Amino acid sequence: MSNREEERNGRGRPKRISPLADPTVVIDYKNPALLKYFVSDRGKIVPSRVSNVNSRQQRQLTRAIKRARILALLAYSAE
Amino acid sequence: MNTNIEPAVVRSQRSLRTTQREYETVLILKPDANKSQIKRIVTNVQQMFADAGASLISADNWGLRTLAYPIKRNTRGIYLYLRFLGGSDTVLNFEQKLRLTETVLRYLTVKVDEDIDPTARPSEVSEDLLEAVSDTGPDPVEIERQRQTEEAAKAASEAAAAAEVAAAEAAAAAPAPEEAPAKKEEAPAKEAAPAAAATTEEN
Repeated sequence: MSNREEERNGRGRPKRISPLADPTVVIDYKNPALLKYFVSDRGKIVPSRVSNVNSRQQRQLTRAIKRARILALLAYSAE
Repeated sequence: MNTNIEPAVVRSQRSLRTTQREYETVLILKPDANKSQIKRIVTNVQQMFADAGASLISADNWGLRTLAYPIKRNTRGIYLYLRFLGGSDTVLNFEQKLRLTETVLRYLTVKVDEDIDPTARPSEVSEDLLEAVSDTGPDPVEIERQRQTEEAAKAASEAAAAAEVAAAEAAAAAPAPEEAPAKKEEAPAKEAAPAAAATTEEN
């Protein structure tokens, strides 16, 4: 029971492991697979309070996502 | 005073220094661009850089990829990746040239590094590399889709084979006189399979 509670972050949502937990990962606009994690289903950039990304990384992500959109590696909007 | 500099030529402050900036550019070309067209673009760019005192360091072809949204009615595009040393004037002239090239759908130039000594960074561009860059690989998305359909077909054939085996076992276990074709009786065969397993367990 307690083990299962630890996996949830208090709001009934199971905790996902961020790909940025790995210190070797570089935020780059050429890596759409990484950026997709920080984009909603509709293509919006996920706020840092949701993704628990620190502000420096959020700035890097925002810039990378916008560049990837220019190159059609990510969609501006889905649906 | 140096009066040789033509007033019309754009020059960056940096081009007057000994260091250069490192830039990278990603180009999206039309999906029907052939090998000679790509090679012409790359060699033209290389020539242009050489004339302007800049240098192409490396080039890469990411292959034909599916675009996240259509650009000029193209759903796919060939991605080219170029890295070069130069100043802001190089980028200006380069992008102006790209805008006039019809094969280029989209481009993005990003500054990678400042204050690079051009002599310390040799160019990796060779005849072989140019040849490799001109070759467009197949779309990875397409490959993935093909692999998935192949796997699905394989799984389906395996399932059919398993169902046939189960049907044969069921036929052997149950004293059924008529031998129906196994493929048409997939659903009853699946039902028969656990039954057959149960009987073997009982034995």
